[in-house]
Amino acid sequence: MKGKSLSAFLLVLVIITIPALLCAITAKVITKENFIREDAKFYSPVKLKVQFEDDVEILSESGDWLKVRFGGVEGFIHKNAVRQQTPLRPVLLGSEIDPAESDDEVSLASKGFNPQVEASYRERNPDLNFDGVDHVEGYGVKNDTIYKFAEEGGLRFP
Amino acid sequence: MKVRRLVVVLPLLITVGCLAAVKGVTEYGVPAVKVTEGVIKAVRYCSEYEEYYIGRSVAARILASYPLLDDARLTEYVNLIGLTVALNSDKPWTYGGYHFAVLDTDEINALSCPGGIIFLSRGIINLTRNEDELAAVIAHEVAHVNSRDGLAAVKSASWTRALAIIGTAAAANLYDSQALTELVDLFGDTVQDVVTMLVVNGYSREQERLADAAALSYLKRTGYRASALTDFLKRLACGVPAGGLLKTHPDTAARIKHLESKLSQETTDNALFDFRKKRHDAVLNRS
Repeated sequence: MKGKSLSAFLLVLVIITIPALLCAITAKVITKENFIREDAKFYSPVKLKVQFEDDVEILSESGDWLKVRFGGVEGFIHKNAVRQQTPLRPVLLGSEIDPAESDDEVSLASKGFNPQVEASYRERNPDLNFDGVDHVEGYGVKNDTIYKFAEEGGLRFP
Repeated sequence: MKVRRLVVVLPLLITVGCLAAVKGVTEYGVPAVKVTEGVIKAVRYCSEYEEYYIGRSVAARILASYPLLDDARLTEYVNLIGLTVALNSDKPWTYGGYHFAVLDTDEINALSCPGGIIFLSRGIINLTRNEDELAAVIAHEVAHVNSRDGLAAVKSASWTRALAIIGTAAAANLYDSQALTELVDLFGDTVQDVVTMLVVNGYSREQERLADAAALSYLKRTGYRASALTDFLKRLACGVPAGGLLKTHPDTAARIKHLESKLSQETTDNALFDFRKKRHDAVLNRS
């Protein structure tokens, strides 16, 4: 009987642990917006636009790029545009805490200075030129134009 | 029978509990326990999200003093060079992206706001003799953004204060009027610290030295002549009153010497260099 109980326990353990071990490694988009591209190149066509804090599933790694899946679409995103989630190693007692983990990981989540704070600051300082800043940020250059510019000048467009 | 069930159920509950603990992380993958530790840390670092908002306000302060140059062709040209260099830098993306603009002033200056907004004065652009020199000025500023040098101006006491306010507010899940007032005060101080450093004090010599070295690397990666940076600095060293790029460096000669020691033999395509120079001259109406 003891043998049956042990077998049952081990079976349950395996059923629960295997999915945990196989759980997908994800990364969070850390830029306001970004793109999943067909290939690992900045000039590669965009397959899907992603937004800040979207979770993408990492499929593989290739140099500075990650092959990811998001919303059923697979493609490439630059490593710099996402923050990989801390890999989780299942442990039997307590949660995983790596003491060597970078301290500033905590601050990555911080949104203390946010649009609400900016709006209040702007209200207090009506002389500041936020319209000018919006204008500068709104200035866009198409990827094709940058590619052509780089190619004509013998420059590298990674 | 009950004991037998317990033998099965108890380990099961323990296992589930342990696995649940593993899943006990924040949305940023940081274990909940670590967040608690983080909240009581004395020093707080700035997230890229916050850096973006600081940078916007720094830029708004700068634009309150210097108007933007209304020249679409030059603005596009500066953005094309800047974005190409940024894509070849150590950090091709920032939260809000890189944006380049020209200030309508004869002053010789270049300013990089935290987060990626970079201003070049009309004066400094007019001093460049070719596209590679203009790219060198931009690469130096991109390096400051990559290293988040602007935030070094912010006193650590400010971060500590912010941490206390944000920590309390986070518990309530919103800023009440008192917390918001305190945070906006702190935000204003932070913005002022950065503006003072950019416009008045300048970066430290070490920050400038590192930005120079990084700029050389970005120029090489992009395909520009790395020697363009020293060419430009040499000309500026001949007594042109400059801010930003040269503000903290009366000893520009030492800086040039340091850069030259890092320059390796370049094999550049003269035809492409000439092509780039021609388009530079065309945009600056020098043809």
